Amino acid sequence: MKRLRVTAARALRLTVVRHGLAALAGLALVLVVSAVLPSYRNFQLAELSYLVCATAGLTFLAGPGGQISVGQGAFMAIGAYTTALVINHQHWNLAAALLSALVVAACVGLLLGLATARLRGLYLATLTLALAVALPALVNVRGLSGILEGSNGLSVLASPPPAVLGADFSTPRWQAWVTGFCAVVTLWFLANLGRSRYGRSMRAARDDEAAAALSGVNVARVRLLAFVVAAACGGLGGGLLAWVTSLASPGAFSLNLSFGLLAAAILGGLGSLAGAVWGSLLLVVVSSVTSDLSSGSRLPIDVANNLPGAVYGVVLIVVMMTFPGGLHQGYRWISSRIPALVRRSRPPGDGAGRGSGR
Amino acid sequence: MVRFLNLTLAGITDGMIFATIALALVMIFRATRVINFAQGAMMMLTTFVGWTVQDRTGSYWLALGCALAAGLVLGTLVERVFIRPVENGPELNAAVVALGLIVLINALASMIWGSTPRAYPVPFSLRGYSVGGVRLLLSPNDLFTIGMVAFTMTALVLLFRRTALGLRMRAGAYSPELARLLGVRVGATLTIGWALAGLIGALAGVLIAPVVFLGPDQFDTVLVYGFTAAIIGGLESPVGSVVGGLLLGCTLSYVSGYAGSEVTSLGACAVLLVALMARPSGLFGPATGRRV
Amino acid sequence: MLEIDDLTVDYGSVRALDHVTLRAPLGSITTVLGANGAGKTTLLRAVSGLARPASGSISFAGHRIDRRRVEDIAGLGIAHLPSGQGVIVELTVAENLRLGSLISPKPPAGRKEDLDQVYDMFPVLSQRRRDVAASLSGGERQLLAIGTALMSRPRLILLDEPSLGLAPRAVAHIMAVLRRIHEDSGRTVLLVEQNARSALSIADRVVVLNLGRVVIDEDASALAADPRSMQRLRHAYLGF
Ligand SMILES: Nc1ncnc2c1ncn2[C@@H]1O[C@H](COP(=O)(O)OP(=O)(O)OP(=O)(O)O)[C@@H](O)[C@H]1O
Ligand SMILES: [Mg+2]
Repeated sequence: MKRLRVTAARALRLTVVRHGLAALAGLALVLVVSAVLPSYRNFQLAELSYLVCATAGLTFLAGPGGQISVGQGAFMAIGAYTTALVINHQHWNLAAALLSALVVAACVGLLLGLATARLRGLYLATLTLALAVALPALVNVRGLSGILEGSNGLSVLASPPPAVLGADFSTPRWQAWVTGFCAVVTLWFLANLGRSRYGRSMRAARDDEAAAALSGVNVARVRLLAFVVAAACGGLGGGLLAWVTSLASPGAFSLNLSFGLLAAAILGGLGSLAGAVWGSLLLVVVSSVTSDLSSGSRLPIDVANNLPGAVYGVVLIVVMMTFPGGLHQGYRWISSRIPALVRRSRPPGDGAGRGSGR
Repeated sequence: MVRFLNLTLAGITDGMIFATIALALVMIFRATRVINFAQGAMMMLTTFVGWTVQDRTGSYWLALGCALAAGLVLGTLVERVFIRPVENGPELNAAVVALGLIVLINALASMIWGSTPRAYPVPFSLRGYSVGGVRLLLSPNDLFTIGMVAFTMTALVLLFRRTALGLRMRAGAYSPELARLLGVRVGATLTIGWALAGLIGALAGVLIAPVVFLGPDQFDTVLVYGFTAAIIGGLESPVGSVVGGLLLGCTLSYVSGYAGSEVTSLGACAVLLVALMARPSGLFGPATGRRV
Repeated sequence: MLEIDDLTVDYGSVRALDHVTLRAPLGSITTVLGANGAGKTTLLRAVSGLARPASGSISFAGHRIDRRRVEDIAGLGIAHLPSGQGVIVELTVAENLRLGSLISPKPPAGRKEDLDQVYDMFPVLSQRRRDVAASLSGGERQLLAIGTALMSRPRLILLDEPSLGLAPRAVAHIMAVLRRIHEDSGRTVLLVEQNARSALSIADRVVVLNLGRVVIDEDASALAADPRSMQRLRHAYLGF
């Protein structure tokens, strides 16, 4: 019995095992939450999940990769249009469509990464920003507007939940399952990649390029890898978005989306993937709560429609001022204080509570 | 040939406006190392102030004055209330605060003025001059735009080169600690820098609004062009932002004239990419790239 | 002129200055010596307001100046030349000097005379006045930093290792300049040095810091005459 416990404890210390368990817990959480939530909330869960995919890519790019992209929306757009095209015209199934979204975005990321290999910091950030503006405008270019249907966008053929789940299984719940699964897998993959040899090389290249190069790290290659991975995550997120909303249109990939994703990544805390979840959660929750509130009130329509934006803006600013290290750091700070507070509020000499919780 | 000339003329007018936005960004970046993503939103808000005054009084000039004043006030306010508290944190935090400001200002503007784009008037005729029977793409209003921008740039150069305030501002931007040891109130000079950037942005907003119309999201593209111009210029140099602006303005004008206006923004992307591949930190930037 | 009482400065858990008391009387040259990490730089930073004291007080010409803003302290007539980078390298020589003069609300005529004086004293600056300070050599920069300080007509000059990284001749030149400034105008000088020999050659009073504490505070002439004190000075530096 004791030996078993020791082995389990040792296994838990192994990163791979820990990440695997966390991923399983994440999947279970998705299943439970989607079962509890009503249909409309399931749609929001799906929304959260695809945002997590895209944001996690940015977190990874900025964390180990040390680069900032303001153009994640562009890669989402690429993923969305790819998904829409292969589903509508080639009648591919969902998994193949999402995979193709991921691959196409990664390829574009690769090309762009090769072209911008020498760029750093703000220069790269601005180039991605320009891309985020330029790319959605492509839909109106003469040769392409026929296939991409201009500003109206492509509507994506809906795919109902598989029959095995029963006839009355709701579509939003199925969407929450699929997107949640993708988000968990993305996080799991990025976590392992960050811990791998590549992740270490990336951090080394970020912290001191010259030193990393001297110790044998191929700086250009790991940088490129980070960029491609982030692009792929964006592509996957975009593909899911198109599938969930049944639409791929330029309006969905405005500058505001790119800004929102970057804000979510920084807000969550660039160091940790958990931060990507926090940041996306804030993005979804704030807008959903305030729009619930404002739709119930008797405010003028312009005010009611824009209240979520105003509140989100204020939240962004306030959070950054109170937790300069991001939400995840704030969470750690609070959770590290709680035991101390609990202990302090307990009369001295009562140590019984400590061991029994295990 | 006439067509090329006309496209160049149109490009210069646009380029001057991009240069103005770039200048506002450069001023803030040089002083505080903050990339002010919110510049577009601030411009939009001040232009709406101008629009409202114009709507009430019918006077273009009063509206212009009010927009510029609003720019000064808004710049001051943003620096003091929003940027100052995060200045000592990680560098990206100021960027997030700027992103938050965009969302907030956009929402507020949509609440007050609605989200339908509105027309903004021009002070002078838009009818191009004709030379020897050939109509040029250069109108009195274009001359006004170019003149305003040139005047502002000259005033700024004089401010920085010739006045005590300008010297203090530069000292505070280059080396805050030494400047303070020499008695410069660096906090104040930073605020003045933001206020001036707000003013310059307000001018750009009023000049561009007749072209792109005025609405909460109407300035996004123009802002990106301003960014592009600033980056091409190297982010540190006011001269660079003018050169970057003109370069971008002309290129975009040729692209939209010869290849169609849908690909203009791609053209901007391409110009930026080519410029940065040639010189990774901009034409007038520091010799080595600086990290964010 | 400058009165420091019981001054303690902490950086987090590191105590850089530990109940330091010292006086720099009007018109004197006081030199502060000590090994690396003794707290010399911290002492100057506390006086000019860049480091905040945990306790103790600093008074200048009868006013309490701890807790005042850096800019205000500079405005009272205290010029602080940090070690190594005392000039703004992006500005030209002339601009650096002008910046120094902007601190005092003197009429421009006075400024012009000050400028002529500085150029007289340092002809090399006069030749290079239009060049950016980044193009000056280390020694020339040090002269420019001193010139900039003089332009502000300070009553007290704080110098942090002006000899750092300079050739012996340049050091001798700087020391001669300091002596001259002192003799011409009777300015009070607080000079932090590693180079004890050259600092002692011009100082009236010597303060030695060790691990944040004052271990010697004596007249320079008395110190030089007293072998036991020299022994203690060596001890503070070398640890034996
Ligand atoms: N910014 C800082 N943060 C933490 N500790 C500091 C800081 N600056 C100085 N210290 C510590 O305070 C102590 C005194 O440092 P100080 O720079 O005053 O020494 P110094 O006498 O000027 O040394 P040197 O001759 O090497 O310049 C040292 O132990 C140093 O490590
Ligand atoms: Mg020192």
